[in-house]
Amino acid sequence: MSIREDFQRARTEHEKSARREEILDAAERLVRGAANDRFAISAVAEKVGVSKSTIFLYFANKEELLLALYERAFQRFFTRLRQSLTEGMSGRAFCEAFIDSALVNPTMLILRAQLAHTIERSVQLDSMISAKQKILKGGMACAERMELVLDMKAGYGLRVLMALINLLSGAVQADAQPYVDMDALPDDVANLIRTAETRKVFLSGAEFVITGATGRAFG
Amino acid sequence: MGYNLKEGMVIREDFLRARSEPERAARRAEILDAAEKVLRESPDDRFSISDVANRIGVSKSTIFLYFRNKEELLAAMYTQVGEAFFQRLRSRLRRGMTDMEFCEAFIDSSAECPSLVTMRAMISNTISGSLSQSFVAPTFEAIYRTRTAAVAEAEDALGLEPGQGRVLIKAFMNLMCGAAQVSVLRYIHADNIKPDMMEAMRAADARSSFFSGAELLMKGIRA
Repeated sequence: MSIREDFQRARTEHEKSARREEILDAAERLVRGAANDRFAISAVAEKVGVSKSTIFLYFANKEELLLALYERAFQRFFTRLRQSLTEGMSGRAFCEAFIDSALVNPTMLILRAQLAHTIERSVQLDSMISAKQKILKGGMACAERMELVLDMKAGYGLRVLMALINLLSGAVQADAQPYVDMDALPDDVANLIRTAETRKVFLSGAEFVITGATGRAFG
Repeated sequence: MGYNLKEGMVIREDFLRARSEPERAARRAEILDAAEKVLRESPDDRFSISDVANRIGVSKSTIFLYFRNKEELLAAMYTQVGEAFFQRLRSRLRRGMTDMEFCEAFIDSSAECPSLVTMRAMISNTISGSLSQSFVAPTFEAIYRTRTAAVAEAEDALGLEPGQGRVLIKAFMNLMCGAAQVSVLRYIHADNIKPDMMEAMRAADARSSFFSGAELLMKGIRA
C-alpha cells in the first residue's frame, strides 16, 4: 500500500491534543456557520480531512463533541474577560468588557441555547459533570478577579458573573435582527425590533446588577 | 353523529369545519391549545403540524386554513403564551408589594406558563427567519402591547421611576430565560450524582439562579 490508512493518526499525546483542537476548530466553524446548517460529524470530518471514525476516537458522539466545544468556548471567554479587567475600572467599563468578550466569539452563546435540551441529554453523565466542574473552576477564577477589580464582597463575583451570563443569554434570544430583513419592515416595526438589540438590552439590565452588587454608581 | 348517509357519503370531509365566526375562533383556540400540549410533551421541543392535527382529530389541511405554515402557528402560540404570562403577572401585582414579592410573582407566573421559556428560545431564529413580514409585525406588536400594560402597572405597584419598569421587566425576562437554558435538573436523576455536585447543580437551578440575579438587580434599581 502506498498510503497507510492510519498515516494521519496522531500517536503521541502532543499530536493527539493538537488533533483534538483541530477537530474542535472545525466544529466551531460549522456551529458559527449558516443557521440552517445541520451540524453533523461527517461535515466536521470533511473539514478536517479525516474519516468519521477518526473523530470518534476523540468524541463518542456529536453531543460529546459539542459539549467539549462549549466548555472550550466558556474557558476562552473567561480568559478574555480576565485579561480585560483592570483594577478600579468602572461598572460600565466592566460591562462593556464583558459583552465584548462574549460577542467576539458567539459559540458560547449559540451552544448554551442548545445545551439542556439536546446536548446534555445525549452525553454521559460523567462528561456533563466534568464539563460543568471545569467551567465552574474557570468561572471561579474569573469571579475572584472581578471581586478584586470591582471591589465587591466575597461571593458577589460569581453571583454577578452568573447573572450577567443569564442576562446576556436571554437578551440574545430575543434579538430578532440577525434573522429578519430590517429594510423590508415598516419603520415602526423595525424600530420596535431595534429596541431588543442585544448590547443595549444587556447593558440596561447589567447596570442595575452591578450597582446592586457594588453599591456604587455605574460610572 | 351527523353523518349524511342519504347522499351516499359516510363522512363528509368538512363535517367538522367551523362555519361561523365564533366557531372559527373556537377552532383556532383549540388548535393553539393542542399545539402547546404537543410542544410540551415533545422531548426535544420539536413538533409537526401533523402531530397537532392528530391530537384534535382533524386533517393537516384544516390546520392550514388557520395558519399558513408551522411558523405562523408558532408565532401565534408565542403571542398567546406571552399574553397569558403578562396577564398572570398583572393579576399578582399589588401596590406596595415588596421587591421580593415581585420577584416571586414573576417566577410564579412563568411557572404557570411553561411554554413561554421554550417558545422564546425558538422565536427569533425559527420563527422570524421564515415568517412572512406581514406576520412578523403583528406578532411583535401584540407582545409589545401586553408588556407595556404590565410595565406601567409594575412601576405603580413598586413605586418605580418612569422608565425603570421597562428595564426591570426586560431584564427579568432575560435573566429567567438565560437561567432556564442551563437548568438540567429535570433531565437527570439525583441518585446518580454526588452530593456536592448536586448542590452546585441546585444553585444553577433556574429558580435559584433567577433569584440570585434578580435580587442584585432590584438592589441596583433602589440604589
